[in-house]
Formats: sequence, structure tokens, C-alpha cells
Amino acid sequence: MKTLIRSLAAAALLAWAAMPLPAYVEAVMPLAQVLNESTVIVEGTVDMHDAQKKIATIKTGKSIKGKCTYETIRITYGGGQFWHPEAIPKHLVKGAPVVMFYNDARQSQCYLNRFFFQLYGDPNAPPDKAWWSMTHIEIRMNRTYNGPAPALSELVSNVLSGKAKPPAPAAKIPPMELAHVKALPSHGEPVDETKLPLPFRTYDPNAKADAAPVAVDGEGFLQRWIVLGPIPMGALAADHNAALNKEWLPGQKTIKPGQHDKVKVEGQDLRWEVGTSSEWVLDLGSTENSVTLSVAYVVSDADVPDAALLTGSDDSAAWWLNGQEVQRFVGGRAAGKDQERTAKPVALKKGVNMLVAAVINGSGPTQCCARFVDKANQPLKVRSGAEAPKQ
Amino acid sequence: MAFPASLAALLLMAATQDLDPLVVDEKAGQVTFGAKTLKTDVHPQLKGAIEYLITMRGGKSYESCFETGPLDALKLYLGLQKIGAVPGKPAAEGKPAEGCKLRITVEWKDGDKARKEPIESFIHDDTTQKPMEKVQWIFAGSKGGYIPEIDAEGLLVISTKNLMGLYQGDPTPLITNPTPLMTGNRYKVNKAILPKEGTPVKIIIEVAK
Repeated sequence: MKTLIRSLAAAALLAWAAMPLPAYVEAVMPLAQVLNESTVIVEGTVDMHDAQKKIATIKTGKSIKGKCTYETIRITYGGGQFWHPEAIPKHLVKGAPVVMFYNDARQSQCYLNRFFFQLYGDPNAPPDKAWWSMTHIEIRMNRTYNGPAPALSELVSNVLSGKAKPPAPAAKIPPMELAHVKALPSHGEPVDETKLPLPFRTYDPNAKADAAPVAVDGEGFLQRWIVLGPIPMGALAADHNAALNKEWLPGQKTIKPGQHDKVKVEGQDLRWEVGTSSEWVLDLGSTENSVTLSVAYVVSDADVPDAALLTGSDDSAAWWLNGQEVQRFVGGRAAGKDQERTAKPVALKKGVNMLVAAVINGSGPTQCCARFVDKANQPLKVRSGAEAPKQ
Repeated sequence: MAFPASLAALLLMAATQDLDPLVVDEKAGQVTFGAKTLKTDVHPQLKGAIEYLITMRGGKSYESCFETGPLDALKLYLGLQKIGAVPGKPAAEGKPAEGCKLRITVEWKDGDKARKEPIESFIHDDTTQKPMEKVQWIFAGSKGGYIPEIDAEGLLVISTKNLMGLYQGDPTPLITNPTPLMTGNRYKVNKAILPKEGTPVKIIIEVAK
């Protein structure tokens, strides 16, 4: 009997549910999928937070799905990635409600305030000794759900009991940045829904995202763009070079779009939207055989006559700076930093420069990135926006 | 179907217990330890993307190639210093990771035949559509912080249990990829060479000359 129990336990360890835990959850993930892939869903509240030690505990409550065997879930977030250990402490307030989702392998998403963050634990560790490590905030799972935690708990209960249907994801909500998470009121603070950062608001197609130019990251990668697409390529899908030669919009190379400007392209009604890079790369979706236009209002504080533009793209891309084509790559690949470099120096003028990219996707993701460097190869500390700076 | 899975799990557990311990051979300039190959494609939606090469039990083994047996990450850190490797710094504030360069190889038995390959051979690079190019790995040394498991300050790798990373965005692995990518889906398992799940291997680390 003991052997059988051991065998079943071991089988359970192997039966890893398909909870997706890559670097970030990039795909639009419906709540129904999160529920299906979790073997345990449990309510809880933040019981302790030590910002010095970067640890917190969650006292668990009612199990909504499965049975939670932890009275307390202990979290350490000091080893988290990127800016995330800096963003989360504000929200680990004693008494803050959370909803924990995990599977048999202790791969977990924890919903706190209005965002998910990824955790992983050790299924072999005794529950009263186990520590779960935070990896990062799921900057795009606000498309799955972005309301208050208690409302999510109620929604999940209702969905699982058949009283409600799981909501469809809101695919157009922009991803979270550090500034958004810092600006989100913590548990107990007054909340004005109309003033929440956009990633935490109910999706409103007419709500406008922050568009003003923002600083590049530490390596100089442009962070804020304005984007149009995906535009179906039709017969040009077989000839990326020809597709990059085509003007999909009148005056495409010098265009200065505004947020929510509407255009008709290839018979489709499209609208310019603000795009935000995730770390160094701008994610433009994954529509096969499509072209997406990405524009950045690049603001330089000085004339830089001998800069270089370094880009990456998935897949083919052409780049125009102030109306002149400065770079082109034709082929299929994953995006990487600095895959292309302008052969000749390019000039950035003091003030606003227009950088336009046409990025073609054959299949898989559509992505691009760009940064400017000086002649000593040091990143230029320009700003990039989805609009020109306001005077 | 449960029985074969549980049997496989028990065999895996047994394999883990038989893995080589950590050995620091200062004379030979080598640090070695045992590991086993992990299951690949745990999550189909990841399309094979992985973030780590070597993890410890309780680490993110579902995105890794090899899992060690019981191993003290601090002893590994100190052992590497005994063979002359000087730890550097993980990537932070836009600066890439730095540290002593390491050469890492993997030995295993393929039937009766002994095989040995650089560890990067087990990675498929989606950008080039080839096995990862030969590299010298960086002994970044892991970010420090409070380790709740031992109630003391120390190397955060003790808590995160991911020894060797492919992206520099995670500041906690002892050893990281010299390519300064912070995150992504560029690397997958090279299934053409990775031995079947549960195969014991020996990891050999030397200072790159």
C-alpha cells in the first residue's frame, strides 16, 4: 500500500499541469485557461511583510479549487527579475487580499491588488518549511484580469460553480511598467477608477494611454512608440522586399500619427495605438503574413551628427529616420538586440526626430527594437514617445 | 497510465540519489558534480523555450536541461574560487554581467560509449537555427540578499536554486550566459544531443584559458 501511495504521489509530481511560465506570459491568456491549469486556487491575505529581508507571508483561507495544504505561503522576492523586486513591496500590505493559483509542481500565479506575479515553490518541501520564490510580475496578464483581488475571488468561485462565464481577455490593455505598478494605490488607499494607470483600468477603447516621450532604458532602447497594424500583406507575403518598398499609407516614411488616429489600409479600418517596449523589445503581436508600422517620436537634447542606429526585428524590417531609409533586413528570424547597424553615420537633430519602422511577420511573433549610439558606441540618452513633447 | 508514470518517477528519484557529489579538484583545476537530464517540453505552449541550463531540486527545472542531486550552492561557489575563478557581478542597471570566464562540459554514457560535449551543445539557438555557438560562461556569482531558508544573508541562488542561467535578467544564478540578453525565448533544448530524461551526467567546470 505504501508503495502504491508513493507511486501515486510521484505520479502527481510528474503530472505537471500546463501552467505557462516562460519569462513572461506573452500570449493573451483567458481566465478559463488559468483556472483549468491550476490544481489549487485559494484565497488568502498578506499576513507579514519584511521589506528589509524581502519576504512576505500569505495566510491562506478558503480553497476555491482543490485543497490547499499550506496554512501559510512564504514568499521571498529578493531574487526576482528586472525591476520587479522594487515594484512589489508597496502592495504587500498586511491584510491585502490575494488569490493564489498553483499546480502540483508548485508553479504558481499569485493575484495581488490588481496584478499577477509568478512564483515557484518546491513540492517536496514540507508545507511549514517551504519558501516560494517570486520571479516577476506578469506584465501582460492584466489582459486576463485587472480588477480588485476580492472581485477575482468571487468571479473564480462563480465560474467554477457554473454561476458565471469566464470573461474573455481584454487583449488591448497595455502592459504594466514599473511606473504603473508604483502609481497603483496599495490596499487600503483610496482608489479613483478613472485615475488608475491604464493597465489597471477596465478596457475602454477610447481611453488614451500615456503618449509623452519617456527615457530610454539603461542600454538606450526606445521604450514608447505609436503603432499601426497588423496589415495583411496579401500577395506580397511572398516578397518581403517588395512589401518593404510599398507605401502602405500615404506619406508613410514621414508620417506623424496621433493616438487613435483612424486610417483605412488594405480595406481594413485600423487605429494608431501607443506601444510600450517590454524591457528592450516592442511586441507587435503574432499575425502571420502581416506588416506593422511602428513610429517613435525621438527627442534629442542636442544635434548628434554621427550617431548609429542599431535595430533588431522579427522578421523583415525597414527603418526610416526623418524620411530617409537608413536600414533594411529581409529574412526570417527571432528578434535580438543590435542585429543590424546603420552602415553610415546617421544624424539626429536637436528636438524631435521621426523614426518609422515597417516590420513584417512571416510567422511566429512580430517584434522590433531600436537604440541609437554615439561614435564611441555609447547609448544615446534620447527620449521616445507616441507623440511630440508638449510645449 | 498512472503506473508507468509513477515508475518513471521512482526511477528518476533513484537516479538522483546516485548522482556524483560535488568534487573540487584544485590540482586538476576542475569542479565536478552529478546531474540528470530533465524532461523537455513540460509546457507545450512554451514551444521548448528554456531559461536555465542547470537547476537544483526545487528550482525552475521545467525550463532547464539538467538538475543536480543534493548540492550546496555555497560550496559550489567557494569551490569555483578554489580553482581560481573569481566571481563578478550579475547584470544590473543596464550593465551586463561580468566575472571570470568558465568552460563547462558534460560527460555521460551513451550505451557503452563515453561522451563529452560542451554544455552549450545542449542548447538550440532559435536566432541562428543552430546549436548555440561555443562560449565561455560568466561566473557572475549570484546577487546577494536575505535567504529565509537559513535565516541569514547570502547568495540568493541558495533560495532560487537556479545555478546556470541563459538570460542575464535573472541576477541569481552563479553562472550566466555571456550573451547579454535579459529575457526572451531564444534558447531551446537541442534534442538532437540531449540524452533521454533521467540520464545521469557529470558536469565539469574549469576556468577558461
